[in-house]
Amino acid sequence: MADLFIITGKGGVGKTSVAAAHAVSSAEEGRPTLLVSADMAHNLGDIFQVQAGGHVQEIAPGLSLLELDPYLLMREEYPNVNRAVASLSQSAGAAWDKVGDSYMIPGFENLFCLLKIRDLYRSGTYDRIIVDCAPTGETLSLLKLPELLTWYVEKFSPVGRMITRILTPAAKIRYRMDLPDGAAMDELGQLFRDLVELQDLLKDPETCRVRLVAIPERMVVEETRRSYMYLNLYGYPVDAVFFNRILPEDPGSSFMENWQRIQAGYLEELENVFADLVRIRIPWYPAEIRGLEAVRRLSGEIAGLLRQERPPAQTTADPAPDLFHLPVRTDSESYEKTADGYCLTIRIPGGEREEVQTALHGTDLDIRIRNFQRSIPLPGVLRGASVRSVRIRDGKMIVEFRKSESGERKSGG
Amino acid sequence: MRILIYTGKGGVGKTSIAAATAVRIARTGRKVLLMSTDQAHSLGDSLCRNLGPEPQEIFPGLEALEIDQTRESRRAWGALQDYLRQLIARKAEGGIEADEVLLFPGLEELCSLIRILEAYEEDRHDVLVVDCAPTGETLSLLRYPEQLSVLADRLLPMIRGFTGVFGGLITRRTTVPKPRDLVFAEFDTLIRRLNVLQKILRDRDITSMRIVTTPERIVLQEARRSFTWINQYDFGVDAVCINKIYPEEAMKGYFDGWREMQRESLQLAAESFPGRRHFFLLLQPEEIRGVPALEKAAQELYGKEDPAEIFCCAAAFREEYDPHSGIRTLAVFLPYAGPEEIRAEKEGDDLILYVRNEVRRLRLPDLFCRRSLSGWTLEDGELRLQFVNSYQKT
Repeated sequence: MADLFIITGKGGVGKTSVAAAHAVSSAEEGRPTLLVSADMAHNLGDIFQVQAGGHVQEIAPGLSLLELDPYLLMREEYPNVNRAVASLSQSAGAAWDKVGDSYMIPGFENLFCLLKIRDLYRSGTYDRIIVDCAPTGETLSLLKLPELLTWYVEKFSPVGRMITRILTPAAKIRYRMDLPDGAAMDELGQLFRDLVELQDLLKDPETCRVRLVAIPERMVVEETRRSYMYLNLYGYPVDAVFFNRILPEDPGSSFMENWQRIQAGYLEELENVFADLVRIRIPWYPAEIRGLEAVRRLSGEIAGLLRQERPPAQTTADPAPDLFHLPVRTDSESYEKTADGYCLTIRIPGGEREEVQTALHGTDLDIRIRNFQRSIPLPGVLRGASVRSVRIRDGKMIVEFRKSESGERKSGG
Repeated sequence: MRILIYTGKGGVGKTSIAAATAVRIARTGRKVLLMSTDQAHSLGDSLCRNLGPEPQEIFPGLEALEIDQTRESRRAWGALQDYLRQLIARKAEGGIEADEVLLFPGLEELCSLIRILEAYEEDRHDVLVVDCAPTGETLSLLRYPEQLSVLADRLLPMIRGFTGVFGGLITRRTTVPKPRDLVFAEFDTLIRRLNVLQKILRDRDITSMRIVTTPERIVLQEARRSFTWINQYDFGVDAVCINKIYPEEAMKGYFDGWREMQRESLQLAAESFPGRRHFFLLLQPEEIRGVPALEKAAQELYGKEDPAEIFCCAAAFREEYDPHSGIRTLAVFLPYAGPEEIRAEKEGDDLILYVRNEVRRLRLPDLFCRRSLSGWTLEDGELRLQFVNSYQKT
């Protein structure tokens, strides 16, 4: 069963509290648990009111905290990454040694965080690792990174090796330049094997689950459904969504009752968008969640709420859902490349062609099935594409897109 | 042109505050461009308009836009992207994610920075108001130009020389195409432009950063930390907006306990940003959307004040020279940083300054370059780095 939990959502929705509650629940089951923050603007120390930092710190029996610090990791734990990059860039003729050990290549911060998470996982020191992830945009790039690097490396690594072989003698003679040897290339290769391994780990519902946090506000609803789309697209197992800061039945004033009405509208929308997931509503507390006791209360509350929750639509859930053993679906949406565009497959059990209407609306695909309406955000690549056909087969809707002719794609030189 | 940059933790209402500010300034007779750099755009929502990457008139005097990453990236380094795509297309089994993946690391930051510079250079507006992404992303935005130019300064000439000599050979022996000169030219231009922009953003007479926070303890703690970071990078904060203050009427019944917490936090907020102006806005009875609502919010926020004014020009870095001891001191304003969170090293002509988990590498002023860093002290939130002549060391 999963032992890596990634908690993510737009900034300010309460990811850290939800992640902290996960960690406390887990530790109280008697399982050694590590709560990791991968947000560059760390909050763990604030929530638990301790001085957290770049090194693991146990704050209660079986409960440890870590705020990932990419610079520290680069220096202390993964100096080989810079060495490997250095030797690769030297093979391209760059004087990397002049850049210095403390230089961070733009975008590489996430790489060190990911490597650390993988090592922590592999060390087996903790039964569960809970990752509090940066605001949505950053999370996506964090999760995208293994993909990105594997792509580059699959292409460049063999090429680099070949270049080295061909050029080393020439460079030595003409420019007295040392090119990286096989060992350095192997080091680089190892780095990428590590990243591929991590990626497999993150995408396997048996080892990892991703959970979203949202609040019923207009901007948040919009962004959360987009990141859900991307998480599906990259194949990460999302199993639950937490709706946070829900005003109680009697919020005490007409001022807050007004806000309650505003929330109700967005909650309805959220329920629709995330019908496939376990949904948990966390109340808006009249005080900030700070300190271990406050987090403990929240975790108790979440456990209670979970017992009342409806299971996700179209699944037969276990009778007693438990925070760390929630059902998950991984077949909601998928894309395939076709000759001139992409093919989107969405699961819509019970849908018949006659009843399904689709329309493109900005960067969303609106789908209407009888009274049920859902709009699916489309990936950026499909911006300006047109729908060629819609088919229904085996409870799945297949939408064929054709890329726009005037696309941005120029043929390279 | 004045540039006002609003930043803060997610959910504090940066967008509403930035939009209200822009509306207010435009209503008092100046031409304003309002720009959102957050990829999760919400500016359109706030103004009740569909916005695009081109400035759109909201009312005479106010234009707004949302940066489109895909589009800007093609404009900024289309040639490089084409080159990478060419390499990758060699193994064209990729699915849709391959196309999405082509977005470069750091690309978001780059696009936003270039767009800000363009607006500045076009000079069609009196004031540019920027609605920035949450803290973490703002940080990477601020350090990006320095990060990239270090890379470019040291690596680019070598790479260019190398490809010039070996490029043809590689292309002949392998299937790797040679990067065209265009790729390098593009990169060069980019770096030069980022350096120009950096100067503009550091100039207190042009650019002001404004921190938006709420009176919640955790949010405020983050705001204080960003204040430190912004100083570390030598940008100027001239004002702080405290948003979503619960009105008296909301702190009843269920929310009764909020009052005490809020009182303490407001007190802390008042003490946290010395010398900076404070503006306050209550939690509104509903979402702030549309020009009239924004105007009303601006009225409450700024009263009679003009938000385009420069409220503080305090420098973050100061140089001192003591003729008696011969010691030169570089003083850096770093509020709330503890001594255990600071590390400083001199590497060649550069100073590497670690504060918590943030590292800045900056070129030292000329007079400091040949000296060595003998030590530092931290007093009243000011880091004092002492530089001595090498002979003084012994």
